[in-house]
Amino acid sequence: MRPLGLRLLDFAETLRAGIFPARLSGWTPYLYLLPATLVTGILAIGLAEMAETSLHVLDRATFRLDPAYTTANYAAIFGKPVYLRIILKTGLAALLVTLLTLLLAFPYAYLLVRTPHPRLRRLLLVALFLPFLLGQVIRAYGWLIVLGKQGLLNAALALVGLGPVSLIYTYGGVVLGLVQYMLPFAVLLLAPALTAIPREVELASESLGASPRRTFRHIVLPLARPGLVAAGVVVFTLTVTDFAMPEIMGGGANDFIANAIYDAFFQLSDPGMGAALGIVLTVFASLIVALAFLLVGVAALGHGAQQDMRAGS
Amino acid sequence: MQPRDGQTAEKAPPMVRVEKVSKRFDSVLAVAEVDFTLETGAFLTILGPSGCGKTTLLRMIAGFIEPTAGEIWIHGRPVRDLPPYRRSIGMVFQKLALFPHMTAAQNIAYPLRMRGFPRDEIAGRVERYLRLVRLEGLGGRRIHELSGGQQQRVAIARALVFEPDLLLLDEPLAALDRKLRQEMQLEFRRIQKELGVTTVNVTHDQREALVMSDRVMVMDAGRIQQMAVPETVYHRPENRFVAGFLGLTNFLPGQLLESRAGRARLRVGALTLAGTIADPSILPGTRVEAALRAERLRILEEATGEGWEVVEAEILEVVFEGERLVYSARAEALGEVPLRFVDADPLRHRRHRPGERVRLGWRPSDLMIFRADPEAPTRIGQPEREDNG
Repeated sequence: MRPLGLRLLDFAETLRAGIFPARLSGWTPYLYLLPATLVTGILAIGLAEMAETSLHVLDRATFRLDPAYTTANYAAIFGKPVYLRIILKTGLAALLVTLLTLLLAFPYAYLLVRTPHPRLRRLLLVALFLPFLLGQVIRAYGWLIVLGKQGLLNAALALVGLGPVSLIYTYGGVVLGLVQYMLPFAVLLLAPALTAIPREVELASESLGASPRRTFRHIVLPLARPGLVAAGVVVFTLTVTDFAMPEIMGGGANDFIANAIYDAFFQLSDPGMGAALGIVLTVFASLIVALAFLLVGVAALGHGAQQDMRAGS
Repeated sequence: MQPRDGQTAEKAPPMVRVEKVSKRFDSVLAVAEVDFTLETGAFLTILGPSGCGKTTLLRMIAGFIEPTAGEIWIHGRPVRDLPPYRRSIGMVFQKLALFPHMTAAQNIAYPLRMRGFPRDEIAGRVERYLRLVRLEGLGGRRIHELSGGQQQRVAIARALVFEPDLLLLDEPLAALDRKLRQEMQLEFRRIQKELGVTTVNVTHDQREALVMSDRVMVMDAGRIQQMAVPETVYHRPENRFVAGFLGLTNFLPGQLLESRAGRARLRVGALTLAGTIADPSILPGTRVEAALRAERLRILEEATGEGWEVVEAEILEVVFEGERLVYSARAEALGEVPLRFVDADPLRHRRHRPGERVRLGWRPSDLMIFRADPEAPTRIGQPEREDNG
């Protein structure tokens, strides 16, 4: 008599063979892809439904969507200065935040990667992750405490006889909050790209007659481009779709598209307009991402560039 | 002819003068009072084990590391205050450090661009150096489209194209397989001779040092152990370390009996042996070690005449290495340490089997006597620093 454990395994094996015969095993890899495909598929269905919804206007008498198809919502978005201003403000903020974040993140990531002191590296990592763990809403409220009318900053300014300055509920405040929020994302995306640049390559450039500044411009920057693009795309898309920071730090006067979508759904009860805004946002963000990839190639997000570097070393 | 060890020619200043240079990393003395000069056009190889300080020394010459003490002169000029990019030095790195986002030609043009050469001269020079390293027509290739040997050639062309005073080689051949390495050794040598550029090479490969160099500097524990032409370093090592680092060497521990005018006798086990001694300061009674190169020891088949020192031995092991056989044997009269010796012509000689008893012989002039390695001296040296990711 075979031991019970083995007999159970045999039974399980027979069961498996019945359900999933061995000749289908070539399909196993595709089977593993199924869950992710399903999730993405559901998103696509949602997107299609959103597109459909966006083609109906709200009947203000019944507060139901008019079943007739129309592009009136889109005409309203691109015709009314209110919406145009919001789109413009969102795009400008995303551009500003992306530039500022990359500017701040690059030296941070470079130091993180290049420092010979493990203790400094640890400190930089902890400092990076600590606020990262807090979440956006808590951080936005944190900014209110620091920058508010009776906040730390104004208290400090009052001590030296200055102020008060108003930083919250301003466009600049929203951008500031977003840059701080995006910094860890950008550093984490830049660090691997910088790690892939061997230190020897920089030394070689210096020995060949390039000052550190020119080494940075001709060697480090071009080799870090995949990381810069990846970080830029992530920061841009996260910013352009952001809701919490303009909601809390903007004080209602500095809405982004996401806030307008929220208002359309929950303040105006106009799902048609909300959906149309959503589609505009999706198309806008997708175009930017597509443009970025067109500029550097899709390989930028993968490891294509790093393989190049290894081949060269 | 190359001037011999450290004797400076009166006329022009030497290309490189390293004056009592030391480097300390925290508590580790990586390079200790290294002092030498190198004439224009010479090819020096710094040879030593990992952590002997050779790479640190090279990087100090390049300007990547600042000496703790001492002064380095290049072309008669102290370079302490010159950053690497202001020194006229071409360097080939261990991992080549080619720029992957540029073509071979762009890599070679880089130092010219950085040094502000006119555009048309850059094109001409790049062509000329591509030809010099035998890469005609491959200038448009990306780095990853080139083979390992071709990448080596781009790296050396890039380091030489701006006609630097000095070429530094930081073990660029270490990663190659043996065959390609030997080919590139000769290739580097050819290019160096053709251009006459003063070169400092760093390696732990003794064969490379002997093949490529006009002069070899053996380093250990941050200090120069010996600096001389390759033949001298190999045949007349100045101390036990050099004798052991180059070639396959047997060491017989013993006690010095007498020493006069370069000849000496020592006691090893129950025997009294004659040999040569380079250091006249070793007094009789001192613990010494006699070094005997494996290729100087041989099996004596029949009774041989004058001039041979002979011991009985038992063969322990035979290793076939292709062009030679490497034996190890135990000679009871010399102690328990196995003696290794080679048969360089295995086709013509009978192959001896383990357990066989043979007569081993050598000439007294081949027995070199050194002060014994003081067991585990305060070993100074730095852990190999890998700066690259």
